[in-house]
Amino acid sequence: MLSAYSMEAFLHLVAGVLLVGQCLFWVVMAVALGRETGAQESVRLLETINRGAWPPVGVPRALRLSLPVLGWCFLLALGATGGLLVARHAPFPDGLFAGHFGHVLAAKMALFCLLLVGHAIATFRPRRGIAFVNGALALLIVGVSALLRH
Amino acid sequence: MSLYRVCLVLHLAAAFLWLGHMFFWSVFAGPVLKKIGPPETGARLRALSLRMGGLGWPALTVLVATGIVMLGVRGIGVEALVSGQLLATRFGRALSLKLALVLAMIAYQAVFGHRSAPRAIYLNMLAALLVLGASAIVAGR
Repeated sequence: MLSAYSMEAFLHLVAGVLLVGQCLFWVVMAVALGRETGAQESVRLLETINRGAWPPVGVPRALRLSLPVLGWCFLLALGATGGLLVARHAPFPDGLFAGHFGHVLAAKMALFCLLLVGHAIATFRPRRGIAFVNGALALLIVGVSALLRH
Repeated sequence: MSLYRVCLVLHLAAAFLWLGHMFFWSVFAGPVLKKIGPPETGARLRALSLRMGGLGWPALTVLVATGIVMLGVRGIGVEALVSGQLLATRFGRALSLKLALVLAMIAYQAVFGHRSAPRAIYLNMLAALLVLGASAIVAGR
């Protein structure tokens, strides 16, 4: 049976995996469309994908989620579980961002904020460039997370 | 940065990319692209999304190699793995479960690879979820 901490960590990992998967999907599509089509056609097809709804069957159309909205769900889950995990290390006598843990946490949160901005841009203007930026940010966050040991 | 941390970074990156590809394509991207209209556009986009091929073998290579190094740094050798002494602690039981599931996923990769496996893929994804759960326990040590 998972402890509360382990459950939070598990959900954080699952949300992270799904977000990285989505970022990778956009990178793959950006690369593939860049090779196969012209710039205008790439944009048109990326916007077509952006409008795709999930799940495609079994749920009324009005309740389906677009791929960007799914991404927001993953980001929300990451933020919430991340907050719970950080709170477990409280209290912070020298401040939240003090020491090795704090510095790495600050870097991770800064990258996460950048990814929020990147995802907001991609939500309304899905383009090849922002797909690569978001993919790089997601991987950087994973890398920084490995350094996050209290 | 220590060897352990370098391995941990690579281990996480490989795991997230591989499992992310597996889950997102199977659960979200694949079904969505199948229903994009017109059908020719949907088919074209699906074909493009599969161009990259699978990540299984490259990811598993990195995962196994870095996993062996990290176990070694933690002082967990072959003897501890096969003798059953790991099962005495919660950490050890979670690690044993994780390793057993990884072996199952390697077997899936060997049998199916990147080919379509409509039912078995869900068992593989369940194994992946359980690996993540065991990893959450192992990381919390």
